[in-house]
Amino acid sequence: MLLNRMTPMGSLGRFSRDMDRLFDEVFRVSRAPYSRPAGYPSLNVWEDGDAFVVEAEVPGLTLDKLSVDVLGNELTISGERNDAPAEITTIHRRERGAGSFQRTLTLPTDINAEAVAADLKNGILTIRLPKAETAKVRRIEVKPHD
Amino acid sequence: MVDNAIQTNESKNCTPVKTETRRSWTPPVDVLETKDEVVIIADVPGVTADGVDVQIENGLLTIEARVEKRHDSEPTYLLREHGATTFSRSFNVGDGVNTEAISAEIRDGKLTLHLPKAEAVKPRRIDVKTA
Repeated sequence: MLLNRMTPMGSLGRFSRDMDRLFDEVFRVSRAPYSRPAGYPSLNVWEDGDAFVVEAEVPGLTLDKLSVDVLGNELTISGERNDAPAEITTIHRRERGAGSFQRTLTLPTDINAEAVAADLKNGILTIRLPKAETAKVRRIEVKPHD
Repeated sequence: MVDNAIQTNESKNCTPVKTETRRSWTPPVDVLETKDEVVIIADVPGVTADGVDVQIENGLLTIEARVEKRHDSEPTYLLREHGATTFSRSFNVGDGVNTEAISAEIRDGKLTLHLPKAEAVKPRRIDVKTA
C-alpha cells in the first residue's frame, strides 16, 4: 500500500501528465506561484545560461539510495526510502511515504550527459544539466550583400 | 487503517494540531510508537540544525524549521513545486510522555523527535465525601 504511494511511474498516465505539465510551464506563464507536485520527488527547474538546474526535495535520502540518469533530453531521478525505526509497535500517522520512486522530466533541449553534475545537501538534490552543443544558441553572422 | 490508530488511547500522547498559515509550510510527518517512546519524523528539506526550533509549552509541542537560503536572487522557474522558507507544525502531547526528556536530531533534511514515555502514571484515588 505504501509502496504504491511513491511509485508514480507505475502508471503511464502520470508519466505523460508530468511531461505535458512541464511543456505547459515552459510555454505559458503560470499565475500560481507553485504547482502541485506531479510526482515524487517534488522539483524546481530553472534555466541558468547554458544549463538547466533541477532541485529535488529528497529528505532522509543518502547518495547510495539515489540514482540520476540522463538520456537525450530526459532526466530520471529514482531511489528508495525506507527509514522507519525498528521495533515499531504502533503507527499513528504516516504521511511521508516509503518505498521506491522514479520520476522522469523532459527538458526543452538535449543535455550533455557527460557534463551533468549532482550534489546532495540537507535533503536537497541539485542537478546541473548543461545543454548539448547542438542546443546552444549560435549567432549567425549576416554579411552585407555586395 | 491509520485513522483507526488515531482513535486509540495511546495516540493521545501525540496528536498533530491543525495549523494553516500562509508563511510556513506544513511538513509531512510520521508518528510512530515503540515500546519506550513515541517518534516523530518530519521532512524538512533544506534545513540545518541551526534553523530548527523545538518548543514545548502546556502540552503543545511546536516545531519551527527555517530553510537555509540557497539562491542570492530568485531564478525564473520553468517548474516550481517547492519553495518553503519555514516549516512549522504543532502536536498535542499527553501525560504519557516525559516532556523533560524529549530530544531532537536532524540529518539530511529529516528531523527526528524522540518522546520517551513517562513512567506508569499512578492511579489516583478520589475521596468520596458524604453530602
